[in-house]
Amino acid sequence: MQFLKIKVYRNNFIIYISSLLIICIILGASLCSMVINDQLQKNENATMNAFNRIEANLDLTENKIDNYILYLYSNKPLLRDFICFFGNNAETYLTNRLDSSDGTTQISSVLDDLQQFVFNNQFIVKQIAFQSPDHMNLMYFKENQGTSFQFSLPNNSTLLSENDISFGYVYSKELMNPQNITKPLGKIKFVINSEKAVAGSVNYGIGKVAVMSAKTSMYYPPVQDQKLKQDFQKIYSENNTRGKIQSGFLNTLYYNVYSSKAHGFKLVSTVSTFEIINNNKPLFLLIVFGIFLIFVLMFIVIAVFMTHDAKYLNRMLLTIGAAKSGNFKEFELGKRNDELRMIAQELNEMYAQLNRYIDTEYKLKLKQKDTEMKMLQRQVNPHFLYNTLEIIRSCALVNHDEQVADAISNLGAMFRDVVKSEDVITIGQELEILTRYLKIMEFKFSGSFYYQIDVPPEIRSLKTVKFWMQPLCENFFVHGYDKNCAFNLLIVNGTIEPDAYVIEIKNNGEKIEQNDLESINEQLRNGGEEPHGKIGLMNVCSRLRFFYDNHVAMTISNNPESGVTISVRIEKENEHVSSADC
Amino acid sequence: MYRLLIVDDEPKIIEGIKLMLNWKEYEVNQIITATSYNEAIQKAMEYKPHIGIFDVCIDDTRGYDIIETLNSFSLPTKYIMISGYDEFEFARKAIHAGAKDYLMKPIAQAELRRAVEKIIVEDFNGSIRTGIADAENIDPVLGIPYDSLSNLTGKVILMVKGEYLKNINLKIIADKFKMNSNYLGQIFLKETNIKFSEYLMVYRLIQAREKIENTSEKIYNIAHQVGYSNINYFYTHFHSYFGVSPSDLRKIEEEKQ
Repeated sequence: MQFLKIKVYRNNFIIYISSLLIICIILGASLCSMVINDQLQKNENATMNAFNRIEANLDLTENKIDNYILYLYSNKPLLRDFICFFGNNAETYLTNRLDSSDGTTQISSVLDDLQQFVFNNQFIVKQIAFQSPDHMNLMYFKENQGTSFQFSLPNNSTLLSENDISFGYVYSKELMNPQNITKPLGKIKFVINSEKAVAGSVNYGIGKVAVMSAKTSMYYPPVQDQKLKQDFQKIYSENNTRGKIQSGFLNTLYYNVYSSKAHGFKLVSTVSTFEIINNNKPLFLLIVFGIFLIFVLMFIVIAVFMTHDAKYLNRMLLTIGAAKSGNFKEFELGKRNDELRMIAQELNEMYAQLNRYIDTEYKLKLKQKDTEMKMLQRQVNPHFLYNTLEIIRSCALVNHDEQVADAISNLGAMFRDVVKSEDVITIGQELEILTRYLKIMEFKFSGSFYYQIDVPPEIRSLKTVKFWMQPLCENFFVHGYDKNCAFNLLIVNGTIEPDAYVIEIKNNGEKIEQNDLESINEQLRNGGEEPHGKIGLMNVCSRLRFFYDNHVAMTISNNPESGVTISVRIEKENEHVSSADC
Repeated sequence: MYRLLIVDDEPKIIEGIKLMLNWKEYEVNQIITATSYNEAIQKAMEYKPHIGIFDVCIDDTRGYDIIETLNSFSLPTKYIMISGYDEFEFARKAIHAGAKDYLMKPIAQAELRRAVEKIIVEDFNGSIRTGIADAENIDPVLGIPYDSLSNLTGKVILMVKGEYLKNINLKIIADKFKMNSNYLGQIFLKETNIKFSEYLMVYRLIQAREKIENTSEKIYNIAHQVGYSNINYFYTHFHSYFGVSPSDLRKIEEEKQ
């Protein structure tokens, strides 16, 4: 997760991941709600079908009853028997029955016929009430138990409970007096076994269904939960055909209501969210895991892409960092095709251009120097110069001026040594150049300058870079030399220490102020720039450093008596160094 | 005994070379000169010189070609090339042609001396007489020429010579050089292999001895003149250095006369 260190990627990452999270949640929620709605729809259809079946069942039964009543009125013997029965108690019925019989023909029994009717209809009618204006007779049918009777009950007897669905559905018919069509005889009420009429028809699926009437309700499957029962009652009392009730956190109770005006009951079907989820566990698990999987995959994809980008950017930053410190290395572009690559490409081009620029600038300078040198050589033909010096020297000899002759000899030799092409010489050779220079100085400051060189052969045989001692000594003549003193002195001293060769250049001129001394030493240690107009101290130091691969230290200090000592300390393990020209 | 031929197109250089060395010292008693190669060949044939100093380049002709020509005449001459040119090729060809040395102009006196001495010793089995330099140029104490000393030590000795009569010591000299006297003493000791104080003492004793031998001044006075204030020290030092006491030496001198 390297990209988290880069702010632009961190912010993007957070935004991407939160967006992804929101999308996943929305997707999951809509999928879930689709499933729930689908389930609700199915549930509603099932309920409607159940309701229609119940209605059809009841209608069919009512039809059968109507047909039976018509049949009863059309069959004279039966009707006679029925009139005998209706509104009388058992004894009266039997008496009437016997009275009306002619004694020959078999007396038709309406009760038997009714029993047969009930039997034929699989006991869908469980009770018949015969209500005359004064009282009523009840006839009960029970499967496998036969038929039983109760006579002369009051009309408001609790044994006949109307509008009570769990008791049964009551189908009431007005009866006309056959003798006088305008005069009502009473009522006959068929109690239809609601269990039988409903139970087979209710397909309650995953939810709960109740067939409800004002007085009682029947629940499918049976409900024990009082809270749920209250919810049912609440739905019953409202007149909505559909709706939902919040029942607990995340759980909603959806309901549908079908009311039968003809038969006076309502079919209520409910299903809760939990029930749907419970019933569709695999589907919901699939949705949740599917979306979780998508989230994780997308997370990984984003992270991988961002890591990829961040690595690229990081590499670019590193390259830029390197360029800052002067190392213009090319950036590996890699397989990309976006703005980052464009920037990287631009960087590369910029580096190349910078390199070219540095190159041309550098080469131009070198060429310039080369040309200058060639011009100088052409102007001052060395052969001409050396020959002329020899002539002058000879003249001096002829004039018995040996000092001048020697000085010219030294000057020529020194010049020759300096312009010689080799850059790496021994310290011994370097000391020879220095000696010639000092001899010229001795000639120049005749009688007031003395020098002494004492360097052991072991140090003389070391390799070194050409022409660094002379500038250090020249220092003395430029700065510390006292023309009024007859005892100007310069000593070059070489000593071998256990771990280093030390060459000291001492003079007895002026001291350097402590502050200046410290700053010079600081610069010598750190390789600072040459102060303007100052002698090539830094130049010598950096050349030696380069040649001895930094295993050299140059310090300058004041002598206790007078003058300064420049000390060059070459570490022993690095006496022979790269043959690099410098 | 030896004959020298110097060839250069510059007469002044020829004059210079004539003066650069004390040729007589090397038993060179005839110096022939030529300013062109033709003249050089002619004179070489005529004089049959032992040593030839040839410029490497006169006009378009090369000195080493001339040497090769001369070699074919079986001359005894040994050649030294002198040149203003740095070209390695010239040096290589010169050596190939049989030149003993190749010296760069301006010619260093020491190199010329070394080259000449080498020819005399190696090719003519001659000997170099050394130590015949003037006694004036030899330090009486160290017995070596002043030239071979560094100019700092030379100056110190010079100061001793000038001031030995007075109360001189290392400290006084070091102060003049604004130097640590121990350090100066070390430099002096290293170069001369003798302590400064010892050098001073010996120098004084030598001076005293000279005076004893050559004057009739009283020894006491002589001791005082050369810087000894204590006559006993003078006697002790003198005796231990020369193996003879000052007064005995005086007697010997008197007896001689």
